[in-house]
Amino acid sequence: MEREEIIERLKEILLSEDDRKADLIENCTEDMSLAEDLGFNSVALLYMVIDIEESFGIRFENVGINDFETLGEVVDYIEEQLG
Amino acid sequence: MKWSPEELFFGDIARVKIGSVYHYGIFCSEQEVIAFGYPPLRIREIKDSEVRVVSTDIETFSAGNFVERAILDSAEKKRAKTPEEIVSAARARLGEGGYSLLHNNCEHFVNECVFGVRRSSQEDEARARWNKRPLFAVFVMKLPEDLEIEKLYPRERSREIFLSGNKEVKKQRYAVWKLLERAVSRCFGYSFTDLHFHKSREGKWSADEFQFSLSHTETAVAVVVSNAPCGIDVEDSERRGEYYGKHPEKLPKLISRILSEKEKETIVPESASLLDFLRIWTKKESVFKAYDGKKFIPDGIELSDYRTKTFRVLELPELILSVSGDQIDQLMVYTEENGSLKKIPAEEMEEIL
Repeated sequence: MEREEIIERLKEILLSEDDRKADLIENCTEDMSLAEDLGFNSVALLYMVIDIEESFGIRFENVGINDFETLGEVVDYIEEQLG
Repeated sequence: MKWSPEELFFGDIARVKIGSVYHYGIFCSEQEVIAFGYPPLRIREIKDSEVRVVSTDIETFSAGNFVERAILDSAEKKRAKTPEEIVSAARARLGEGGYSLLHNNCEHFVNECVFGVRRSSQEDEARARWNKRPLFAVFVMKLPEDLEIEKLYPRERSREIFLSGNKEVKKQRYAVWKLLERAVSRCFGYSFTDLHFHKSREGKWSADEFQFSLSHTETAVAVVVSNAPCGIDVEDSERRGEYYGKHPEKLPKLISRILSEKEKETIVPESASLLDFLRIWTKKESVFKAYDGKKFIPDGIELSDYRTKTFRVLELPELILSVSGDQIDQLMVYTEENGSLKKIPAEEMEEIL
């Protein structure tokens, strides 16, 4: 799966979690911080983890909820898991 | 300053131990020792308001006890006034009142005469002891609509908040730090700028003087301060409820994901409610903040290993708060509204079990 496609699917997941942030998510970039820039708290990150697992068919093993600082780091992890 | 049982000279600080406390005075001569009050003898009980600066002879000052002379160190010698100035300052205050055991006692008096500064090691010790008492105070506040963001102490925290790209996050982080400032003033009497803050590599802030934990959500901020490890998490159940209204099928998956293997033996995710999820989640996050702070893996935390409490304040029913920490038995809760803090009595809180 191409990186661009992963990012688009990731944006869909984030939008489904909080549509108040629609503008922000549609225009977000990989270097944006999940907490600082996008305003996702730890519960929102848990939602994201579960949706990613279902959507991409991968599993976050031994990964902390707070391990990912930026959107790009999440994409890196998904890419790595998809191998 | 050291103390020695040697001959006293004009302008010296004299000290005598009576029972468990020290009584201090300025020595002028065997016939003239000036002190804030007479020696604190049990047979003579008087009110603070009646205590005056008095001149007595050495016998009365010592009440038959051993008298010691203050030996100043080199730094103190530089700061001290001359013997003439010291005695003159003491004599000028004869008859003065305003005594307070903690804030204006006989030790304050001699320090003010000798150094020009009202200071008491007895007060410092009492304050230090008080500030190290078992304490577990929670402060919670709804986020105000209008919040003007100003500079904060320390500068690094201010810069960190200023750089937040999301204006809602900026507001939350500013508000929680301001609430911490109020909490510290309330619990310890510290001025924020006298404190020593540090930031860990993981981004967690700490202070040398006490322990604290912060939490913020879309609608509220919360702080806990203690003298032992402590953690707090706050969630808005109405906000979370909006999400589950749209995706009810997700709740069991979320709960299943955060339970440890042992917890799964007693909790059935399919029959658990949103409140169950928020209770377990916020408890685990509070434990993570109190005792780890590096890697938050909820299913790796066994809640039965820790002391936690989940509750809500009845005037803020949508907020679910969990706390964890060694001094949790001392739990006190305050809310902040329009600049004033209100202590919440137990009957105005509901524990969520």
